Amino acid sequence: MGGDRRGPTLELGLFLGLVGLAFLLRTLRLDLQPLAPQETARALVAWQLASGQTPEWWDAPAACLATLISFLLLGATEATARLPSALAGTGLVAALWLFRGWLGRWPVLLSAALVAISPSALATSRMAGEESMAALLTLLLGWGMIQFWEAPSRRSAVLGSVGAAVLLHLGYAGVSGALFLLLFGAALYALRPSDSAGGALRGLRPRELLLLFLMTFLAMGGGLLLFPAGVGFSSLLAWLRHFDLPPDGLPWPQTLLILGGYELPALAIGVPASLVALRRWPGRPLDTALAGRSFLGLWGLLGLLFYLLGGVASPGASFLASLPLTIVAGAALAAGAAELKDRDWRMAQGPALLALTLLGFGAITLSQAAQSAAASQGPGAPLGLVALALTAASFGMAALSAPRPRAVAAAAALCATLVLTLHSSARLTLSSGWPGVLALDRDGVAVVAEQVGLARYTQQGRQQEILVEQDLRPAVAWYLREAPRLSPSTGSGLRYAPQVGAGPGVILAREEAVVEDVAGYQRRVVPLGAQWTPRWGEWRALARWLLAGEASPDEVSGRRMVLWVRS
Amino acid sequence: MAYLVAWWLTAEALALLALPYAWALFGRLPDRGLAFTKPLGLLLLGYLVWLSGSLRLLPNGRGAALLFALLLALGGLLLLRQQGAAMAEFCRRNFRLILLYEAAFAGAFLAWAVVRAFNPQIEGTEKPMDFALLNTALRATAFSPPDPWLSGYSVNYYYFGYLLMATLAQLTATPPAVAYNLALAFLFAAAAVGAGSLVANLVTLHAKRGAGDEGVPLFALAYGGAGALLLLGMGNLEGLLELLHAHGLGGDDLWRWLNIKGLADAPPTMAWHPTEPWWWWRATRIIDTVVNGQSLDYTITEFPFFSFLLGDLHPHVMGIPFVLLVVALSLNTYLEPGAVAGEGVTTPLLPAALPPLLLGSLGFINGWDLAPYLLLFLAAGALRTWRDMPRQTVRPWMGFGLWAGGTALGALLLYLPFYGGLGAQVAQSALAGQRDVAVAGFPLAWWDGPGTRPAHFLLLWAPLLFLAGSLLLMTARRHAPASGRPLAVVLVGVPAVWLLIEAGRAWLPPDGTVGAAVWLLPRVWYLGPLALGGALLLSRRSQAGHEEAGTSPPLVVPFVLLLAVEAVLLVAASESFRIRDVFGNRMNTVFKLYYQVWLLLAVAGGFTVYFVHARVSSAGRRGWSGPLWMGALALLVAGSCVYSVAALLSKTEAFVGPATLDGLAYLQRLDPEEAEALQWLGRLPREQEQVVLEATGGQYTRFGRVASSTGIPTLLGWAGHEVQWRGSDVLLRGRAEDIDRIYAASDKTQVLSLLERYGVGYVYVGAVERGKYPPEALAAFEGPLAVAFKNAGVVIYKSRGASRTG
Repeated sequence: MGGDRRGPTLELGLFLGLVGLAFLLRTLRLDLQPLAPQETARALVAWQLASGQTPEWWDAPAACLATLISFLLLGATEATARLPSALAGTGLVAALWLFRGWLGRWPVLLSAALVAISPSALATSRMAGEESMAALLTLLLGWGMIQFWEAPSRRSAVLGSVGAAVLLHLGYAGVSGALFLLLFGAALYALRPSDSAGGALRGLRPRELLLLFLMTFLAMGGGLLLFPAGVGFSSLLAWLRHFDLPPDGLPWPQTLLILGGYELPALAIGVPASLVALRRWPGRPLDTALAGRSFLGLWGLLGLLFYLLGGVASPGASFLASLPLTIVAGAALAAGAAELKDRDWRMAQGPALLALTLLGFGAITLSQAAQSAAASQGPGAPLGLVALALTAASFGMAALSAPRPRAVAAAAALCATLVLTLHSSARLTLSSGWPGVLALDRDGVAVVAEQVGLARYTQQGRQQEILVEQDLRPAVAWYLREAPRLSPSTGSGLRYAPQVGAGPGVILAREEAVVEDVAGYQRRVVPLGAQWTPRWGEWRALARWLLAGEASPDEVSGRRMVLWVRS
Repeated sequence: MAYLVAWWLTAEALALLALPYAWALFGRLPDRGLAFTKPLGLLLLGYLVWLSGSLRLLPNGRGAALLFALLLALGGLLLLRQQGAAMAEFCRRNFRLILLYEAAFAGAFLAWAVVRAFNPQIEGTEKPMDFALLNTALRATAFSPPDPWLSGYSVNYYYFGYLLMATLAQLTATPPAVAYNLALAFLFAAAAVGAGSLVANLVTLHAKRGAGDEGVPLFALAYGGAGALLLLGMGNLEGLLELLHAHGLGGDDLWRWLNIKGLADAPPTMAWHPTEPWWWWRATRIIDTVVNGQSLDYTITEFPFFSFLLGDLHPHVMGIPFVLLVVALSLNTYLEPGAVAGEGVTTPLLPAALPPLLLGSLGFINGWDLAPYLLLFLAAGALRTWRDMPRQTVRPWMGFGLWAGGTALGALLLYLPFYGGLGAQVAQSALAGQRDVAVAGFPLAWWDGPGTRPAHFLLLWAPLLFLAGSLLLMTARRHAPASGRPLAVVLVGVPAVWLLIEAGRAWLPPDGTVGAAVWLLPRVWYLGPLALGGALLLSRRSQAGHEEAGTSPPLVVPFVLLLAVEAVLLVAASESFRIRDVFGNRMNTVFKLYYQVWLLLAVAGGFTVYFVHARVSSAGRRGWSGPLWMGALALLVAGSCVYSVAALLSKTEAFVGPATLDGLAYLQRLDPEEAEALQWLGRLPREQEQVVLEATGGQYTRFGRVASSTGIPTLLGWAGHEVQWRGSDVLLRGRAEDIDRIYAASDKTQVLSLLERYGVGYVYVGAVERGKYPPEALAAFEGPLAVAFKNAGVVIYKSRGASRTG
């Protein structure tokens, strides 16, 4: 009994510690990197609303409103643009406490730890976007849905209606979340016995709930009257666009590599664990714990599908898929390791030693990453290979000699998961950006500002037209937001800039989009963030990247943007 | 390979989505419609994508397809609440059946993908048209899609099949040139499994006679395989003649008498099969009466194997799996007690709403399919009503009338944006009736040309007619045991009648009394089988027998008879009428109606193989008729399969050479510059409406290739096809001249207004244009227009109308 008294205290303490760690990891030095173009899209809208201007369009009104609040309270900076997402990311870790009854005490702690240091969760939470908020709301609504089915209450129904309306205004991520919830709700309805469903719906007034939902939906869409023209379902269109095919086909091999590289445990353990939960659920439909796991499993598997079918390998979509899988994986590992008894712990010394080796390996990577953001040729890969071989041998020996091999394997996998996740997070957040995501670095910002400043007026004194490639337009607009009388044109993308005839004064485009110089224009190159694009089949490079985050210079494209200024 | 796997996985996902719907829809079939889940899932998804695109709710694309797939999954989950336990139990008990169906689908899909991989080129015949329509369905953000060969107008053709294939391509992110070939493989596999399942269900129902509630035994699947072979694996007997002729067998007199165009002059071969290029084409141009070198009755007699081998992604090919789906639906309706009167249905909404949705889609996939299969569906309902009707009662027929009217109206209303547009087209044609090239008036006309020669007819239909005739006569014999030896009648009577007619045609003058009768026989022979079939269908004795009043399903033989009777009706129609079209003959009528006859008789034939085989091999039966019948059938089928094997080897060049599913890979080899330019154009954002100018010229040539390969509309592609689609050339007039004017003008500033008038964004100058216009005129574009793309072989100019910078 004494253990019972101490348990919650220790457990709560540990949990709060993890929440604190998550908060620190998500909020420290949020302005380390300039806003990437897709981040500036949100920030720009919020800034325009804050400064009394009317945005052209938005696709995640609720996220923009959250950013607006942040700007109004703390000023419009890169850090404050990212703050709502960071707070939502922290809230996600905290929200796992609600799943304690379904997943178990220690499993929830491990899941929280994994989410706190998960690479894609960290990357997404440290970027200005709607994904963290959408994931948090989805998690809460999913939990609420199961709770509601168990013990229906008017308050939870009202909260659910409002939450669903807000979720639908959280961009493509929110619509994805709503679809997960809808499908899970339908599965719940299909599987639950009729009497329990009937009980759940008794005493509610659907018309009132629908009205509440619609009012919230309209209010959010109109930006709480700040942007009445924004009323609509722009998030759905953003969701549809998310799946638009890029000109050269789906990047799914690259997408898989990136997800596998950063979220290997979530994939390797979370997917099978999710499938097992979903397989068992129809046999025990009244088991809420199983329903909770199935909710996460369904979300994870559908999220994976959405991620793989998406037109870009975005960190946000990766996060939406890997978050529930990480939670499920953590719970499964902790549950497995919890079967270890005293004697097994002794037998598990080998894995423990190797876990330490891997921790050392993680520390090496961390130090490497901290030393240089550039591609590394250091000793990380060989060390990683040695550690991997030792790990495999020792796990095998320990599993063979232990009386509970499955439990030992789970404990070993748990150690490996922690270290791998830490390692991946370190190289993602400290050394390089998310592969494939366009980034504008500080130098680039400075050059753009200088060039555009110079070319602001023509000889006739009229405002100069600036034609900016679609992807980069919000970034340029954001960084030049204070420039007087200067606004980027609404011209189309500039994929084929050399064919432009008598055109604008300044042209900006991605370097690779251009094959020739433009007659009558001076060319100036602006650096973008260095990127590495993993390629299918380059196994050595791939292994080095997975083990040590190393990429040789020829695999890294120091991406650049090109400005042409009419001479 | 990745695309192949992606298509297969997507097909499986669609099947899973459609499973609850199929369960609700095919409650009376022993396999519960398992084999039809893939076309059903695709059709439901495609309908939602099309409807939302037509109503401008959501833009057509991968996102919309995925969203609607999720909504279908949602509906399926809700259905599971009612039927989940029963479904799970069925799947558990019939796991082997599911595996067999899936293995058959995967095997057929892979097999036909391999066939396509050895002749994947999208060039020649009507492939450019099919590719154009597939591309425009992919590029369109809303429906109807823009007409790629007549900019400024939308497609005026049944395009739903292209949309369905485009949806699969969207979901799997497959490039159009690969999707084209995979679509053929998908259709082939879906049709094979559908036909097999239909026959297997019929056999099971007949064998079990309602004793078992579900499942399909293995032997029934074997007969299903026979049905699939009859539908998709078999050619006609002309292939056998090709073989004989290629090896110098048969005299010149025989070949001249047969008068199959080109066969008498075909070269001999050293290989075992004919090696003359395109020899296999002749099997689809058998029927004709040539007098003094003039063709009086040029017709097309395609059959499914030929269509898949040729590789034209035409509506009648795309329609096959969906037609089979509707035939299965008709069977279910026939078996469902109270389906017509709306009684005893477990889930009322779906069985009421889905049949019109499926039926209406047929006309949208292939216009020729709607009427025959709507008729079949309603006839199945009528047959059921006839069976259920207590004597001297009118009330059920009133219910039937309402049901039939509601179904037919629903089928049209659910596709109103399409059928409404078609109505507008008819009106437009009528208005254009006084112009030069226009089709006007009542759409049907009497066919007063020569009839089909019996020799030609039998070359086409011998195996399937043999089966249909056997079924008819055996049923008649059961109905009236004193009617003699039906097998003997079939075996001896048909060739005898054929010889009699041919002899009469050869020796008797057509103007004498006897001669006129002989010449008339080919035009009226079908009245006999029709009368017999009709009598059997309406006979209450053929309905009764093994069933207890309303508790067990009725015998399926009347339904199979219905298929055969409808097939004969369609043959009769093609001998008597023609659809009024721009060709002014019955070429298309025979083509499209015979195609349906093949499908109906193949399904009926698959069942007949079982039906006759079961009877002749039953205990206590000894005699020569059974083995003789089986031997004759085997000979006929083997003779027809000669065509398939030989043509397959010819078309794929014996599976030697590089294999690829990319239908434009040949262009990369022959004209890499053009391939690069087309790729560049294909990347233009699809949200923005573009018009690209290219030279226009004759049909079945390289003209129109830019629009065809990209889906971006051009001013005028194949003018002849536009006239066919629109029934008039009124919208085309002046375009060819304007195109010539733009390309040929030496001072391009004079034609800029023309470019603006047509909204031309890009002007394409490639090999075809250089072959038609003087080089100095083409070079004159530089200056007034900016160069948007240039390589060694192609220049694309950008006009002011271009909506994308650069």
